[in-house]
Amino acid sequence: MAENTAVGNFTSYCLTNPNTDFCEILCSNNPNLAICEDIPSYYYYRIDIVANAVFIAIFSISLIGYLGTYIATRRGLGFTVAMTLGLIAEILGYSARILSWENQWSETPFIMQLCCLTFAPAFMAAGIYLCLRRIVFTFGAENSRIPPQWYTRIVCVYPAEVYQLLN
Amino acid sequence: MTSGDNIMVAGLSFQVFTLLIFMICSIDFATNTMRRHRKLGDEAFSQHASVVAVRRSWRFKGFVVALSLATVCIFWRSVYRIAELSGGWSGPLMYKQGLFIGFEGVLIAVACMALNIFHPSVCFKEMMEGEGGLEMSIKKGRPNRDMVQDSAGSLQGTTNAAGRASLA
Repeated sequence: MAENTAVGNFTSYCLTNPNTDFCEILCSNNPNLAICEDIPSYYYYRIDIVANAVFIAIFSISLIGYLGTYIATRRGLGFTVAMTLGLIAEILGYSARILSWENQWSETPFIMQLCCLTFAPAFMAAGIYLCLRRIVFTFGAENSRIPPQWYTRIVCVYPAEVYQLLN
Repeated sequence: MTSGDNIMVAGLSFQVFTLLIFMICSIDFATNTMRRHRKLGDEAFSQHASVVAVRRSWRFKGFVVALSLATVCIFWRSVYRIAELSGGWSGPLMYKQGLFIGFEGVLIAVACMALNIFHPSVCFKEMMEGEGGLEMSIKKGRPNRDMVQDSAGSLQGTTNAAGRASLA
């Protein structure tokens, strides 16, 4: 009974002061309160759970595809590692968005989806860079202005970026 | 705009920068190759039998298209993310979930699936082994070396040139 009265008081307070930290903390702890629909969260829209669930499914299937192809062919370990890291980060990122769907006021999943989804494609780009050298060899290294090994060296700058991220 | 946000935008800008360099290198290589092909005909290309077979296969052509598509997708989404995050956590693009789904999720999903279907290990076969050229694997007799390992050191340049010479 006392609890209901407290919630009632909070609700009337947040109706008149929706932009206060107090109301955001209230909704972070009780995301299902009716009043929370009008309280600002980390997101400026209601997260669409279907889209995020579909992305988790697509990226999981894709990950299984890459691992399966590596197991079957035993070729292209560097490429597989890069794509695997990228896809795991994507899956973590979209999982965090589903946690955010459950509670749009919670900080941890918001930060997690931001970090994971921002940097995941960098790993995939690294995998792509690894392929160019091989394309060059397929046509003949004489056609390239720079030695083919140099194409792969671009990848080496990525650890620097990860280090920066960890800081 | 917080410092964490600045790091994100800096990281993304760096991503766009390296992608741009990569695309310039690829286009330069493509135009150079086409020019040499016009001038020298098929002699412009490596004539080793398995390389010729790889080059003619539809899988290889599909792989080149898939790789280009994936590159453009990742580039596009990185540019979008810079635009989204550069306004801080309340920038105008942060309000649009449709753009996030379309330019972050869908583009990366397309890139991954394109390379799933035209996977380099399947489309390239022996080209994915060793140094990426057959030269290295034939010469050293170690066909399954990891390509990350291969990328280190300037030694390879000379070994490779020697390998090519012996094949020619």
